Amino acid sequence: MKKNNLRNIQINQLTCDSCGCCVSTCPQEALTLNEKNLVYVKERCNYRNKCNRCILVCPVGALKGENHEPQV
Amino acid sequence: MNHKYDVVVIGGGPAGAMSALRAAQAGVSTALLERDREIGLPVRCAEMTSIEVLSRHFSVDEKLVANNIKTNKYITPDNLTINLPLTGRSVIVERKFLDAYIAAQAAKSGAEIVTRADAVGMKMSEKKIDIDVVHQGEQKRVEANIVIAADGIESRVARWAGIDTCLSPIDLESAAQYDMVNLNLDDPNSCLYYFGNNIAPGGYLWIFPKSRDRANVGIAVQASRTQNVTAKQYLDRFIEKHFPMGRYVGFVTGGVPVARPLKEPFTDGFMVVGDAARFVNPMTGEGISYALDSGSFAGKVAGEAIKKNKREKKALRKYSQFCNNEIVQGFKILHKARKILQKIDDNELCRINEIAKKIDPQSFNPYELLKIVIRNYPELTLDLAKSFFKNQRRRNGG
Repeated sequence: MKKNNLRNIQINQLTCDSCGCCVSTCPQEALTLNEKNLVYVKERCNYRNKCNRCILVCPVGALKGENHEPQV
Repeated sequence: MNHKYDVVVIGGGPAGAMSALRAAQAGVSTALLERDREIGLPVRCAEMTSIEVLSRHFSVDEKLVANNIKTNKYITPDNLTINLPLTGRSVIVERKFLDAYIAAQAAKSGAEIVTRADAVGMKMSEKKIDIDVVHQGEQKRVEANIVIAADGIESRVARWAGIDTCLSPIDLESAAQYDMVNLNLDDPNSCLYYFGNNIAPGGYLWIFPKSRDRANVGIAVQASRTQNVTAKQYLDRFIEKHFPMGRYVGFVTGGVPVARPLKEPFTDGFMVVGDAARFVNPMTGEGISYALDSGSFAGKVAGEAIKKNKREKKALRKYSQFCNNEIVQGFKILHKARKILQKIDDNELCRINEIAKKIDPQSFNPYELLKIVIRNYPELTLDLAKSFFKNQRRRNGG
């Protein structure tokens, strides 16, 4: 697995329904919605420090990452 | 879109459109910025409200109403059902018509509705606020004297003003809903609510009918409890079992904030309304009435502030006081009850339902049920019990 994947979450833009749950829960403001899709700013993301709130809250599982304990 | 307005409202749902309507009615230059291509769609809402709630703000055209609801039915995993007859006129509305109707009234009053206008940043200075907007794909800048943030569950605009609106997964309901037909419901005028840790952990599943045949069938699950099963999976599982003959017309996802509302939904030249301020009933997930009430008052306060040329935080304080008295106070006991209900297991839930069933339906109300919950959970302090009974005297219609 590429080192990059361990640091970042993956987004399935086709599964994403733009509801905003992930945006509302991100403490780093690493996710935003525009007219077209969900934008991920990996520099702000804390996934490598065990945050996976966005993965947890998505009603359709559009965000994924390597498994670790969910931070609530 | 011009580059300067007295009042800029960000977000075109019911809260934002009401803000724009009242500001425009006050005679100040007003813009409503909506990211999507039209007002009202997609509908991320179960669509239940009441004529009384809507009539507080405008006269209700029957075209907005899809169905009348006479009863709420609460069902626990043991299949015990409590019927609660509703007073007043509860209804299922068509949000796509309602939202567009309010925006149309705002436009007729002089507000400029700008669609495909995505606010991407904001800079606050002493006398104004500059908003960066991507409008029809072009970067633009709009100046406002006062900004009203009505951007719903995401609530990013308030964060740009230095107000923390981030939701913990414990305080967020992860939601999904189908528009379904071929349901053949027993009663087209009853809303059904299903509870249970295997059905909708930390939330509930609803069937809100528009006819005997068609309904909003949806679910809200506490987001901290969706590690292995998503909200959509819980919903699909239920539908497979209960409505195998049902057919889908549409599907949407959503998020319902059940956090405590913002302590201070305002600052200099700035107010937050509706879901963005977390003005959502923590027990029912209802948001329409609070969106309309807070939006309307914020628009009114904005208009007055512009005319008096006073935009500082203390000049807007009456907005915060209004929200505190009319919305936040009533939620306090409900937050505590929600936290308890989200922790109990299915057996305890069924037991509460059994007890509730013994209450005379004529005198039944959610506060009676709350009293029972609190009596059965002695770990609550005496202070809490006192504040509960004090609150009951001031209750609003939830």
